[in-house]
Amino acid sequence: MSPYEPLIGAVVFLVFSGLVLLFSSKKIRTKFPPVFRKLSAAQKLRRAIGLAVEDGSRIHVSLGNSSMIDPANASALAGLSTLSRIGQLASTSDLPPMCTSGSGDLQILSQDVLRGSASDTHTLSQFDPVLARMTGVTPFSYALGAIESSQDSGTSAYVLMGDFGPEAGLLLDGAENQGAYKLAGSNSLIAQSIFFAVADDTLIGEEMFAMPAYLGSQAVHQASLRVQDILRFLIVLILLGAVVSSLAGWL
Amino acid sequence: MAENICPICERPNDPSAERCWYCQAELASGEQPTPVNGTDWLNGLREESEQVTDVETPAETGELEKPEEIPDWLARIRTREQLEREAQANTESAQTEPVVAGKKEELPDWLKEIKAGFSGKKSESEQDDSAPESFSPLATSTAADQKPLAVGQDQNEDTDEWLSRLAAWKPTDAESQTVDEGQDAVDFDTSEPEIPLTPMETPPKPQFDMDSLAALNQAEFRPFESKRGNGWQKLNTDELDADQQDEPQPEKQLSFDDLSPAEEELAPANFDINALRETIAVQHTDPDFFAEKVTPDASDASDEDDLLEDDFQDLNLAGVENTAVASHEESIFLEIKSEPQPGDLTSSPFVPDDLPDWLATAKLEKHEKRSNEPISDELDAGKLEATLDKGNLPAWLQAARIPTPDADGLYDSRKGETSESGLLAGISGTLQTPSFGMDIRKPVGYGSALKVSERQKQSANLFANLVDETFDDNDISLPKKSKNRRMIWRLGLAFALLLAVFLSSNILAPFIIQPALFPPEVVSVYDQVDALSLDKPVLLTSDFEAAVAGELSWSSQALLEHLMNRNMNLVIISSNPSGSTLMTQLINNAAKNVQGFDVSTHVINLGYLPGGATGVKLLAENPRAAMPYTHNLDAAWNSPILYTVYSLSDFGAVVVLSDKSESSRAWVEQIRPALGATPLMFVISAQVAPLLQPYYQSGQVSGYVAGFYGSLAYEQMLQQTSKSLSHLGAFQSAMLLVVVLILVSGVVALIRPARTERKG
Amino acid sequence: MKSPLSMLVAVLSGLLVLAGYFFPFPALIAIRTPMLDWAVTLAGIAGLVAIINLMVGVHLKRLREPGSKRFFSIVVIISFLMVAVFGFYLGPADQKFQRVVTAIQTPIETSLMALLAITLTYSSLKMLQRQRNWMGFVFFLSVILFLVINSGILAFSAEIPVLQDLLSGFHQIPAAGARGILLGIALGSLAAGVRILIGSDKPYSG
Repeated sequence: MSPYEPLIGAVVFLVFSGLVLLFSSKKIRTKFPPVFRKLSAAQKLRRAIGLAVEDGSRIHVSLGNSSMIDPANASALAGLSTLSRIGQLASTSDLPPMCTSGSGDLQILSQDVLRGSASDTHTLSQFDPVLARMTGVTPFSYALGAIESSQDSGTSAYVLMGDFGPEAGLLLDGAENQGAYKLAGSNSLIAQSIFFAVADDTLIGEEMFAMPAYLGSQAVHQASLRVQDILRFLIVLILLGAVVSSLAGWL
Repeated sequence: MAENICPICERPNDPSAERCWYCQAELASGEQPTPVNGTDWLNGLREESEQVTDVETPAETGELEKPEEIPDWLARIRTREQLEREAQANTESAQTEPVVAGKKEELPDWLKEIKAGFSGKKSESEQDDSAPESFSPLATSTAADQKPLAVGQDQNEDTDEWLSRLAAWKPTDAESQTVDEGQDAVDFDTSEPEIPLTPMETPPKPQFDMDSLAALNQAEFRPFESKRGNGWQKLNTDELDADQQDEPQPEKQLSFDDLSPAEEELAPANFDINALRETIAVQHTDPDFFAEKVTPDASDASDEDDLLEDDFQDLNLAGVENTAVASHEESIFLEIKSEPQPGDLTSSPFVPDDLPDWLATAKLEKHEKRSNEPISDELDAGKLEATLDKGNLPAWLQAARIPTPDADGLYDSRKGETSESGLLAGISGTLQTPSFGMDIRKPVGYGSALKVSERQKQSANLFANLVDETFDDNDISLPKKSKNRRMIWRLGLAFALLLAVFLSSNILAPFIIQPALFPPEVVSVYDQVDALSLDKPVLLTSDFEAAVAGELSWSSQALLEHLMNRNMNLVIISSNPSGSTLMTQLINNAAKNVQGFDVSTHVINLGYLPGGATGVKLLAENPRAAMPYTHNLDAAWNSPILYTVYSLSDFGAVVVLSDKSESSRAWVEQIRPALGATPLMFVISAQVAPLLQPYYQSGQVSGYVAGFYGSLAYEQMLQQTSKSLSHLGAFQSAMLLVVVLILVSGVVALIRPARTERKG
Repeated sequence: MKSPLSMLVAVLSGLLVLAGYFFPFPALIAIRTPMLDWAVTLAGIAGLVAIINLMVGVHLKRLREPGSKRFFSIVVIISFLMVAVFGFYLGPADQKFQRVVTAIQTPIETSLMALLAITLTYSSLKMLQRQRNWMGFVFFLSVILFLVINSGILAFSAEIPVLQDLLSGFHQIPAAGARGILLGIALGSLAAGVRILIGSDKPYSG
C-alpha cells in the first residue's frame, strides 16, 4: 500500500463531507435545486407502500446478513434508512412493516428504527418488537427464516436492501409465491444479478444508496446524492485522462 | 358579504380567492356574487363559525366552558339529540313543511334547531350581543388545550360517548323523510349532519388552514371508517341516495378503460385491481419532488440556516406535516362523503330503505376506481402554504398528528394524484372518487323456472361483488392454479437436470470436452505452493458457508493434497463460526489420500476469528493478539508450528477459501499490506472468480483456484487420477441443458406477445 | 428526539477509528485497537441477543398460538437447546460434536443450494417475460454467452487464435462492468458513512 493512500482517503473524505454539508444548506438547495433522474423503482415502492396501507397488508424489509462491523454494512445502513422511511409512510397501515436480518446488530438497529418510526408517528401502541428479528445466522437459514416469517403476516411487498448472496434467490422466490411486489438492491454483484432475474425491480449499483433520498428523507440524503454524482464525474474524468495519457505515452 | 361559487363543487368561496377552498379548482373571476344566505342553508352556520374563529381566544373559551365543565360541542350534540327526539315526536307535522328554497327563514324546524344547537342554544340575534361560542371541534379543542390534563382525559371519554351515540343514532322513517325533503333543495355536502366534519364546511379563512384539518387525528376517524355500516352512516347513505335520485350529478362515470394505464405501470402480475387504488401515504411523496420543488425565494435566500437546522426541519417537518395530514384527513372525509355516480342510482330500482343496513353501507365501501389522467389545475401548495397560518391546535391534537415527509416533497407529490370527476375533481393529493354501482360481472342466467325480479338481480349482483371484493382484499397470494403450474415446471426442471447428471456418467461420457489450457492463475498457485519453504507454516483461512462446502471441497482438495505432499505445517482459522469445523473436515478428507501426513502434528486449529473484516484487520496488525488460543482453548503461540510467527509475513503463504466476493475483497484489502512478500492465494467458488480477477491481474493476489475447472486443472498439473474429470460430464451436460432451456424460453418469450397484449 | 449523548458517542467513535486509519500514529492506534475489540465483542453480544429474541420472542410465542407452524417451532427450539447444551458441555472442538453438526448442517444447506439452482433456472426461463426491455435482452444474451463459455465446450478455441482472443475479451467484460458498479457502490458506501459520521443519519435512537 502506498503511503499516500491514507492521505488521499482522508482528503476524499473531507471533501465529500464538506460538499455534503454545503449542499445540505437551505441556501444552496434553494439556489441550485437538485435534479435527479427518474427512478421507477422508487415510484413503485411508494405505490406499494400505499397499497399496503390501504389493503392493510404488510411490507417486509430484509436487510441481509452483513454485520455492522463489515465493510458491506453501508448497504445495510441504506436499508435501515429506507426502513425508517417506510415505517413513517406506512404508519397508517393496520400492519406495521416487518424487518428481518441475518445478524444480531442489524436486528437491534432495525428494532430501534421501527420503534423510532412508531414513536414519531404516534403508533407505539401498534409496535411489536418481534417485528424486527434475526431469522438465521447463516445466509440460507436467514433466507428461509425470512420467508417463513412473512408467510402468515399478510405481506404484500418485499424490500430487500443489504448484503445478500445467492440465497436471495430463495428469498425472492418465497416472495413470488406469495404474489408480493419485490424490490431489491444490494452491494453484492452476485445478488444484483439474481435480483435482476427474479425481482420486480432491481436497484443496480449505487441506486440502493439513493433510495432514502428518493423516498423523501432528509436533505442530507439528497445532498450526498449530488456529491456522489460530482465525484463520479470526477472519477470518470480521471479514468479517461489516465487512458488518454497512457495511450499518448505520457504515463 | 359576497361569495364566489365554485363551478366544480358549487361551494361558496371568498370573493378574493382565485381557487376554491374545497376543491382547489379555479374560480371564475367574473362570478356573480351570491348572497350569504342565498342558496346554502349552512351559510348561516359558516357565518357563525367565522365569528367564532375570529373572536375566540383561549382565555375566553376557557372561561365559557368552566362553569358547565362540559365541552361545548358535547353540549351541542346533546341538545341536538334532544331536539331530534322532539322532532321525531312531531314528524307528521314536519312532513307538511314547505321545501327549503335556500333562505334561512325557510329552513325546516329541525335544521333551525340544529343551528340553534350549534350556536349554543342561542338565536342569531342573541348571538350578536353575547360572546360567541365555539362550535367546531377545532375551537373546542383550543379551549380544551387550556385545561389541565384531567380535563383532556374527560374530553376523550366524552368523545367516545359522543361517537357511540352517533353510531347508535338512527333516524326513524319519518325523520329520514324529513331529511329527504329538506335535501331537495339543499346542497348534499353541506347537509350532512356530521358534526365532526363541520370544520371542513366552514368558509375559507386564512386562519383556518390545512392545519385545522390536520388536527383531526386519523385515530379519531378510524371508528368512522369501521362503523360505516352503522346507523349514522346509513343516514348518509340514505341521504346520498335520495340526493342522487333527485339531483343526479353530471359527472362522468369511471370505467375500467380509464384505469388500465395505471394498472400497466405496475410490475406485471403482482398487482391486481388493488394496485389502482392510490393511497394516502403514496400521495405524500413523489419521486421527482426534488427535481422541481424549490423555487428561488428572496426570503429563503436571506435565511441564515445551518445544516442542523435544516436537518431538524426535515426531521420534524412541521409545516408539511400539517398539510399532509390535512390532505390525508380530507381524503378520508371525502371518501366517506363521496357522491354516488348518477348512473348507479338513477338506474337503481332500490328505494334506500329497501336495502338492509349492511347493503346500503356496502355500496359506499366499494372499490375505488380512479382515472389517472392528470388534471391541469394543480394545487399550488407554495402559494397556499404562504397564505395560510397555522391553526391554534390543542396539545392533544398536536401530539396525535402523524408526521409526514419532507415539506418540499409534499407539493410535488400531489401532482398527478388528482381526480377527474366527482367531488374530488381538481383536488390533488386526495383519494380518488369511488364509482358506485358499476357492475363488472358477466350477466348471470337464472333460467325460466326461477322468477327473479330486476331488483333481486341487482341485489344478487351487489352481493356477489361484495364477496369478490372480500377475496380481492384478503387473498394476496397467487392463484392456486398458478402455484400448481409453477410447481409442475420446477419438478420437471429438476427431473431433467437430474436425468442429465445421471446419464452423463454413461451415455454422455464420450462427448465430454476437456479443457485444453491451464488457467494462468491456477498455474501460479501451483508454482507458489511448489516453491514454499518448509520452515514456514501456511495459514489456511476458511471463509465459506456450509452451503458451498461441496463445491469448495472439490476445488480445494487438490491444493490441500499438494500442501500435504510437501509436508507443510498448516494453521487453520475461520472467519465464520462453522468454518473451522468445515475446514477440519476438508483437511481430514485430504489427509486420507496423503500417506505419511499426520494431522495432529502438522495442523493447528486457531478456531473462529470474530469480527468479520474488523477481525481480519486485527489479525493483520497483530495475529498473536487476534487469535491467542487454539480451538481447544490452549495457548496457541507456544506451539512449535507457530513459535516463529509474529506477523502475517512470517507465514509461508496465506490461502483463503471463500465463497463471497465481498469477503474475498476484504481479505485482500485488509491483509495484503501486512503480508509483504508472502503470497496470498485463494480457493474460491466459481461465482467469485470474475471479481477476483482484477486483483490477480494487479498482483495483489498471487493466484486462485476457482470452481470446478480450477480444481480440474490443478489435478491435472499434479498428475493425479482426476476425480473432477469423472464429474465433468455431469457438469457440462447440466450446463448445456440449462442453456438450451433458457434459449428456448427466451425465444418463445420474444416471439410470443406480452401478456397484456394477449389479453388485448 | 434523538439523544445528543448517543449521537456524540457514535460520531466521536467513528471519527477516532477513521483518524486512526488515515493517520496511524501510535496514540491513535492505541485508542482505535481497543475500540475495534469492543465493537467485535458488542457484535457478538448482539448476535446472542438476537438469537434469544428469535427463540423467546418468536418461536416460544408461537407455541402458544394454534397453527401448523407450532410443530416447526418445537423442532427449532429443541434443536437449538440440544446444540447449545452439547456445545457448552463438549466444547466446540469436540470431534463428535463437530461431526453431528456438520452432518446436519452441510447436507441441508447444500440441498438448499441445489434448490437454488433450480429456482434460478426457472427464474431465468421467465426472465424475458418479466423484463421485456433492452436491458432484459442484454441480460438474457449474457446469461447464454457465459453459460456456454463456462461450460467448457469451447475448449477447442485454444487452437483458433481469433476465437481465443475473442473469448478472453469476453472474460474481461464482467470484470470491467463489475468495476464500474463497484465504484458506484463505493461512492454510495462513502456517502452512507459520511452521513453517519457527521451525525445527520442516525440508525439509532439513543
